[in-house]
Amino acid sequence: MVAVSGSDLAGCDDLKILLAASAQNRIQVSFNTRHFVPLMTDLIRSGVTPKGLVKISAKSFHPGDLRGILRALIEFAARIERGEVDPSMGITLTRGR
Amino acid sequence: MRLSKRRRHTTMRLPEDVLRELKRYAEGHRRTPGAVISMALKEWVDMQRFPGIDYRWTPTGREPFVTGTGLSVPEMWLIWKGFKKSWPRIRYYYPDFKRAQVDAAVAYGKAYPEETKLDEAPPWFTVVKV
Repeated sequence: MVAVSGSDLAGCDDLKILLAASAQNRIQVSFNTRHFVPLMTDLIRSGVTPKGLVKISAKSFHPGDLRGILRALIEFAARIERGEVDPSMGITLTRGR
Repeated sequence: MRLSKRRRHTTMRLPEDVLRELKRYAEGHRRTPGAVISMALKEWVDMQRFPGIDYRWTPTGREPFVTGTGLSVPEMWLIWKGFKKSWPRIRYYYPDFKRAQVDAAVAYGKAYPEETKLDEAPPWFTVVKV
C-alpha cells in the first residue's frame, strides 16, 4: 500500500496519480472518485487497463480513522485475492456486513 | 462551482483584446461571453476573499482547489472534519500540508457549505461491505 501523502505524488493532480497507480499495477483508493471516474474512462479508451478504483464511503469511514480504513482495505484485499470481488469497474467500500 | 441565480444587468467597457479573447474562450467552451465573464469574476472574487484557493479544470468542470496541493476544497474539508478540526493531528498524518492551506479550505467551506460535499459513487460501482 502506498499513500500519496508523504510520497513523490504529494501535490500531484489526479491524472498523474491515476497514471502512477496504473503503471505500478495498483488499485486507486480515494474518498473522492468524482474526478477519477472520467479520467479512468479516458484511460480505458486509450488502451490502458487500470487495476481498479475504490471509493471509501465517507459515511462509513472518516479520514482520521486510519486504523479502521487500513483494516477494511486489508480485508478487501483478501477478498480480491480469493476472487470474491473485482475492483476493475469500481467499488464503494462501506462498513457492516 | 455554483453561482447565485439572481442576476443583475450591467454594462462595462473592456479592452478590445480582452473581449476578443473572452469571445474566443466562450466559443471554444460553448458558453456565452456573459457566462465566461461571470465565471472569471466569481473566481477572482473568491481568490481575493480566500487567499490559498485557486480554481482548476477538472474532468467535471472548474473547481476550487487548495493552492500547493492536489486537493480540492471538499477533500481538504473532509480531512479537516475527519481529524476533528485539529491542526496538530492533521500535521502528524499529512506532513506536507501547511496550516494556511487547511485554513484556506476551511474559510472557503464555511462561506460555501454546499460546496464541501463529496459526490456519491456512480451507480455502477459495486458496494462492498467490510
